Amino acid sequence: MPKLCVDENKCTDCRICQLVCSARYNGIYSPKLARISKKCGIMPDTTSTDVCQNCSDAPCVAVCPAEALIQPNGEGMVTLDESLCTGCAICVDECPYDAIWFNEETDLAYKCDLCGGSPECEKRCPTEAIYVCGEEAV
Amino acid sequence: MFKYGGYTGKILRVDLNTGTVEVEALDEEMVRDLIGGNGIAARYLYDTVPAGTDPLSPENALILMNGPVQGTRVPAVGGRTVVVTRSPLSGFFIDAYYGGHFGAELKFAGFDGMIITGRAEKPVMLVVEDGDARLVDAGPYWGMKTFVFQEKLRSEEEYHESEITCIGPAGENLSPMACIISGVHAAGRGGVGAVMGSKQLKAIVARGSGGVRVPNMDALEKYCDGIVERMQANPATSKVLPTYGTPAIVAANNKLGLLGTRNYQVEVFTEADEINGEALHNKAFVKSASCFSCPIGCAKLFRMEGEEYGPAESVGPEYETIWSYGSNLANSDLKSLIAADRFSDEMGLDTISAGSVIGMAIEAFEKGLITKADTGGIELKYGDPKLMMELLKQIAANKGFGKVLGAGTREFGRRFNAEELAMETKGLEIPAHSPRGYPGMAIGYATSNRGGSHQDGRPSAERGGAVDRKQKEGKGEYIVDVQRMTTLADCLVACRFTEGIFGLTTISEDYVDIMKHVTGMDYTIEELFDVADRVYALERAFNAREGATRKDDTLPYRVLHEPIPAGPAAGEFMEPAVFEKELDAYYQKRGWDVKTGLPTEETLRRLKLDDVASDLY
Repeated sequence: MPKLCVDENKCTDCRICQLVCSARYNGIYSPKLARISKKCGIMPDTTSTDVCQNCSDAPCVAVCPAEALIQPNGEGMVTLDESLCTGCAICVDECPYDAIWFNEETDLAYKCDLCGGSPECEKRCPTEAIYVCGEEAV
Repeated sequence: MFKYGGYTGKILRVDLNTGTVEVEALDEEMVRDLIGGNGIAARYLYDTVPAGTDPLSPENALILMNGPVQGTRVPAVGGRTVVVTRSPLSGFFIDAYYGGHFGAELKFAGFDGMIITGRAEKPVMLVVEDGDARLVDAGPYWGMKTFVFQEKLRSEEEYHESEITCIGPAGENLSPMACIISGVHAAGRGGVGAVMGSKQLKAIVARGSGGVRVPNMDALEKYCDGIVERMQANPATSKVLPTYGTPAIVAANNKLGLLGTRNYQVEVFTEADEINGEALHNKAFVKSASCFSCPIGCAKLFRMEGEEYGPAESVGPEYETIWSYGSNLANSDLKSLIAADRFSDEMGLDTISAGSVIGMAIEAFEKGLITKADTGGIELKYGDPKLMMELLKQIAANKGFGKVLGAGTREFGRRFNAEELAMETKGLEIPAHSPRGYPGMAIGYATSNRGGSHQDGRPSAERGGAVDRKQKEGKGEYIVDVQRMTTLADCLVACRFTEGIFGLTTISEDYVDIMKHVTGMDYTIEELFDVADRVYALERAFNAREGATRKDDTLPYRVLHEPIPAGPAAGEFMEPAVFEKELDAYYQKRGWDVKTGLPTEETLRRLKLDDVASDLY
């Protein structure tokens, strides 16, 4: 599956990925609105990342009552059609990777869609820790 | 919504005497005149803390302030915060900066800064979350070391994923060398941790789901991309700092013969290769880390096996600590430097001042100015890492000989008639950039409002060769422009490692561009000079109320009277007559009175500081 992979050993926890993501999609710098989530303990070798893994037969697609989450033939990228999303947030609870979030202002779910194939975060990660991986990678 | 981009427009005012927390609006005119960070904090301090206030009394204010850029992607500035207060170490104005993520998180939580006064009856922490703030009992956490405390708090559901600014035992014990810690970063200088401890404030905890708005996101993002490209083209920000971090400076300064050794008695450390950037990289490097929004990643996690000095795992030591605990103490035991750095962070202790006073005490002991009767029976000698660890423990405990050391080099000199050995100005220990070899930096130390800091004025241009290191003439005027740059950067709360990009020696157009893109405000360079001069005059006026005059703008005896004895820089020092002449030029360029070392009434009024002019004249 094409997805964002993160080499945590290279990640310096600068959060630039989250900044460029929220800048692009929300027009504001807000890590909580980013489609990628970073966590880090006190020591820098404890970074971890939550981002959509584009699971096969994705559970979020299966539970979406509005059919707003789309994955043709149960393979490849899962996309969210915001015009269909009703904001029920069932997908948020269902995601095994904690990689779908809910925007209280818009009442809509949000998740990574790899910026359509050329992610902003990958382009701007200063240590090249983020990259698109998977057999169908662009 | 606040008129300008970048700001939340809200300040917290906390009175720990009464337990009240109030939200007040940030004044738009104040923002225009002082920008933020150090500038706005200096104004609040001047207005809040009357002359003669005991730094550890409830009446002193602890002020944390963001600038407009925190929380944005402007490279290398996003997460920094400044702490401003009256220093218990120097008795003067102090501004101490720290990196990490707290500044950004505070903004996402809805605030540009906070003014904290009073003293809580019992240990408390201030919890700031999404536009609101409350005081919470911190009794269970009092006494905890900083990393243990932060991990413990974050493991609790209520504080999950929060950013924490806290003190360790040194702050709780009111050591004048106590710093404030956030993550692994320190607001190091001047005893700001003791002020926090005196207020019984263990921590400030921030968590926010908000964001930072700017006038034109596309334009700012494009500008940020351009800065990143310039950083990638600069060897310091693309190779040296990302690979080695600040420890790279050890070899450079030792090669020049300007690595303070044995309390600056000499400036070549023959064992420097054991503790330089290469040695740390090859023997202990684990991983790089960044502050929020920074592409450089200068922080280095170092780890070595064996715990004879305590856990040898730390983000650091930085260059300053390698000097203060290394060459300054003739200590080439790398593992002990990592362990001592970790210990100092956990206890919340300023490594610069602590290492400086230990180095001075050892010299005083060797010269017979103090004896075992003064040290609690301990024999002091250089090159003894176990002794260093023991003395650091005593300083953090603020007891016995540790309390004598923790009072600082100025006090130590007075107490033991050893003033000629004290490496300080205004009571703040000077760090690792030789004042004998870098004359511009020396005048920067002397005229710094906070004392011996390498952040009011900079050594970088002299060290790198952008200006002639050995030339003394003209360095008085030169350092005014460098200080204008550092002061303005401190108002934005920008990291010094942007200086190679934005300009080493004065305020550049980049600051005009950043202010325009982030806030929407149009400044000319001249107006930014005025902002910097206004802020520096405010700091100076605060010190003037505490009795500071030209006599306090001086240098350690050793710098003025003892040439470097040997090595590549042998013979270099700052002759008093040259120093005084450059100091005259410095004051004249600033529009200050050469007799008093204070801004003239005319200068204060030109800078729209009429109230300050009325106070001083």
